[in-house]
Amino acid sequence: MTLVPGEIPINEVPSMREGVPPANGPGDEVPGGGAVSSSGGLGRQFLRVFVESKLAVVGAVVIVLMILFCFVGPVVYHTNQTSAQLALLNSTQNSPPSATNPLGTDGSGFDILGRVMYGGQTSLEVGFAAAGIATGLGVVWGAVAGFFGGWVDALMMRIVDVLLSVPILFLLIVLAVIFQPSLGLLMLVIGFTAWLVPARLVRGETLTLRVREYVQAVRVMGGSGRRIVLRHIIPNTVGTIVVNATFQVADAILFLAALGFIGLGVPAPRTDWGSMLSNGVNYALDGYWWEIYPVAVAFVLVVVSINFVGDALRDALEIRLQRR
Amino acid sequence: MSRIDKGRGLLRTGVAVVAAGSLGLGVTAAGSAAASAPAGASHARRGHAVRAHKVQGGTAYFAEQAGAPPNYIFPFEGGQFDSINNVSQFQYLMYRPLYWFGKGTSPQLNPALSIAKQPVYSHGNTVVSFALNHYKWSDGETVTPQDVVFFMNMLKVEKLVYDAYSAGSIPDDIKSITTTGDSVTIDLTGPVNPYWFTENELGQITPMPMAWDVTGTGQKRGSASCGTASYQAVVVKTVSGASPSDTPVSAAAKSCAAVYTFMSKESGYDPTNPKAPNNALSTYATNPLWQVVDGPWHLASFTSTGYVAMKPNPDYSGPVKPTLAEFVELPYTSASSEFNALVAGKVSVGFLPPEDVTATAPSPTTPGANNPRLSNFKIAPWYPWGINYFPYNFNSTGDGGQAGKIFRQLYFREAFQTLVDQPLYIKKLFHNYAVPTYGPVPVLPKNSFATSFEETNHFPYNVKKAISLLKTNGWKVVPGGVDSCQDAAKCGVPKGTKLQFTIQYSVPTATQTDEMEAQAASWAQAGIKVSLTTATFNTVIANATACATGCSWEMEDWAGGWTYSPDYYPSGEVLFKTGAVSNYGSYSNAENDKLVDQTDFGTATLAQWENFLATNLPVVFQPEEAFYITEVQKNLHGVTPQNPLLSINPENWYFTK
Repeated sequence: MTLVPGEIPINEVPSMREGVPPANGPGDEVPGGGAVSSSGGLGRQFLRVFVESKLAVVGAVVIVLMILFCFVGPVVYHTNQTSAQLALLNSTQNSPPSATNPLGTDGSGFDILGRVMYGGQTSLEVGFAAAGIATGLGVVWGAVAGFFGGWVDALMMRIVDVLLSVPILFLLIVLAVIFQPSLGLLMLVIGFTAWLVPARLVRGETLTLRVREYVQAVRVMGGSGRRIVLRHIIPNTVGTIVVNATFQVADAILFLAALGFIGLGVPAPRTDWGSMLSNGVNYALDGYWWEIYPVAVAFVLVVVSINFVGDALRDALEIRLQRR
Repeated sequence: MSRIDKGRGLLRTGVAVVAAGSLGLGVTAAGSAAASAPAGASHARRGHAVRAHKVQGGTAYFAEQAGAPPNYIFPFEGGQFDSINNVSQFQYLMYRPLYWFGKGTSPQLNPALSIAKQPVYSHGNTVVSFALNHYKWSDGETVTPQDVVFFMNMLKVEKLVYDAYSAGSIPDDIKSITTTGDSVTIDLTGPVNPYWFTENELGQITPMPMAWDVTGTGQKRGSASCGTASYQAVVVKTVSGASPSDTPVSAAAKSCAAVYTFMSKESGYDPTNPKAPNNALSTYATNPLWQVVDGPWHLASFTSTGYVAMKPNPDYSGPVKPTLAEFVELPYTSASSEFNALVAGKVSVGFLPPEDVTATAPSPTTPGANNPRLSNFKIAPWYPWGINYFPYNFNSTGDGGQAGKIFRQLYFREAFQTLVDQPLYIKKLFHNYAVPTYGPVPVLPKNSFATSFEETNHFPYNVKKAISLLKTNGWKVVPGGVDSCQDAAKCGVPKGTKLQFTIQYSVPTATQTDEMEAQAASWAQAGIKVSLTTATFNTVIANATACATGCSWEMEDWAGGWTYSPDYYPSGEVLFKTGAVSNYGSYSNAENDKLVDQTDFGTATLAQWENFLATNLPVVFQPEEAFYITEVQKNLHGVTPQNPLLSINPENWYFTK
């Protein structure tokens, strides 16, 4: 690290390491106001509040199980999910659940159980990747806007306001029509249309953080804006970011499902849960329930579980809910 | 979904209608209803047979093909508007063609329902003459021979945009046209096959009213002087070759060009700005131009989404007057939404999507048991006089500029066709409501044109054979991957060229997607990577236009191929001859052109030509599925037999109660 004259390495100033609890080790100064009566480390406190939400625990378990189901399941349960030609040749279409096909087959002859796994891979990959893109972009955008303020903030947030006024689903449809959908493109498209909410949230947080003493101190010591944003502002908004990221995952899965449902999902031979639902709806009036319910249950389970986890994360990261 | 279907609808004679009405009296109405009410509003009478009585009036609701609403009303359209939805099932209800084709389930000429009497050929088949029956326009004018000349004058000037044009055929083979009284005499440039000329040349003509001979709103009928000019007075300078053009020379020709431009704009297409959106759709029902009709119906309502309402033309002078008080065409964005409407009883005549077939048909023409949710409907598969295929673009600049060159390699087309498993798709996807297409001549309805050679599958599904063909011709085959050319001399394209293409297709039914995905997976087995994209029917047919200098589209599948109309004699000059407007893929083969000419202008039969094309593969042949697995409300009669040229004749329809 290169220091400018007069700058003090931030890590050498214990009081500057915001977000990191005091070590309270021998020789450490105890902060003014007395010793903190802690019932454990920050991680332990976080975990304790999190597990207080039984729904969140169930949700986390479901998410882990669904990830295993989608990504490890196909290793155990082998089915053809890539060749519609072979599916037609070797299967009976729209057959109800049986010993051969525990959840039946769809209109192309694909095994539904395997299809839910295969489609789930896409939905989860897009969900997490798009959430990552949206959160990353939104956090940086919001932090920069909030930190610099003034005309920079005004300009950046007006851009956000303008983009927020565009119906997202409409925008997604237009983009998906202009650009040939692919897995990567859908991740980018959904990610780049979902960053507005985290941007506003982080910008709001930043506005309060930038006037804190430790930020002022870094300024006084000649810390650069980039350093302040990356090392002090963003780490201190981690609670907001993490909570919002979980909801972003759920939202991305929902958006992908919506696109898939209107026929703009991933191209064949890949599929996603929304496309599967869309195909299943074609047979709704024919009573082929197995083409709708299994994928719908998987879809709802994952989205609801992610939301439960998000709620619990918010509580766990909320300092006022932590016992002292 | 079929393409370029100027279907000549089945129109019964008055006697036939009386007979049908009489028969109707004996019909047992399993589900009778008020004539105006759709099926769902009916109340079934059970326990005993009820004698059904023909009802005057009522409204019949016809389901349009999913995602394919009509979008062009002027009956002189280019290839981008050439569809059943625009012509056979929309324009022809209002503007009758000179000759009506379709008699029962046969595609043959129906003289009783034609505006003109049977043509007479003389002077060694170099002169043809015909007289007109007495038909009236709804503005009180008589349909005269000059109305025929009006159409021909416009065709002479604008043939290069007209969907059914091919070089050497009408109007190129016409020397002069004269009119006397109610007769038209056409002097030809040489002898023709009379059968072909009647079916494929005269069959294209739609008389146009003098009310359309204008170049601006509110002008006096005939003021533009295109319709009133003689055929000989219309002089154009024609340039043939790779970039053909017709330049109006005489005043009459210039007038015709102006009339065409005006009428096209009134229909929503601006020839000077082809990409402009169609903003005229909402004016169709109110524009007085379109209210001048000689057909049994006139337009009462039209929305840009494709909702069409028609009312009987009180001045219709044809043999069958409508019984219904109103005929409505309903648009649907998907087959499943149409099926939902059918189940809900909101449609009188609709279609059963293949994916909703619950019982396999014993044979293509013998329906299986109906979907149990449609107990109030009769099922009747409706097969077009056509073939199903999608074109390669032989001038494509796709795939790094090599797609067109690849398509020109016969070995590639053979390999590609070998991976299309038509029998499998017919059995598994279409539940037997389809027949294979192995050549250019339809096999249904049964006819004497299709040879046993053409009906034989010369490229049965065989992955090993396809791979072998590609390897033999210099390709490194990567099953599941993408093949690349290793030997340019054998491949016919530069070394390193990949076999990867894009097919844009329309999605009338979920089954269409299943079929395309199965085909893509099949091609992938030989390392031919095909990416699938979807678009609306109207978008696909607009994209699938011939481009002499090259364009990027590679393959376009509007999911229906071709119904031979107005080229009722399936001799192929409209589809496969070099330079034909509807030769969308720009297929060009000297042997094919020679054989077509021998058929059209000589006395040769179709056999040699169709056998040649069955193995030369100008397009990708696909199963010809039923146009509609038609569902007819049980108390609606006169819908069947259905015209194989895909016209509809709601003037024959009536409810019973």
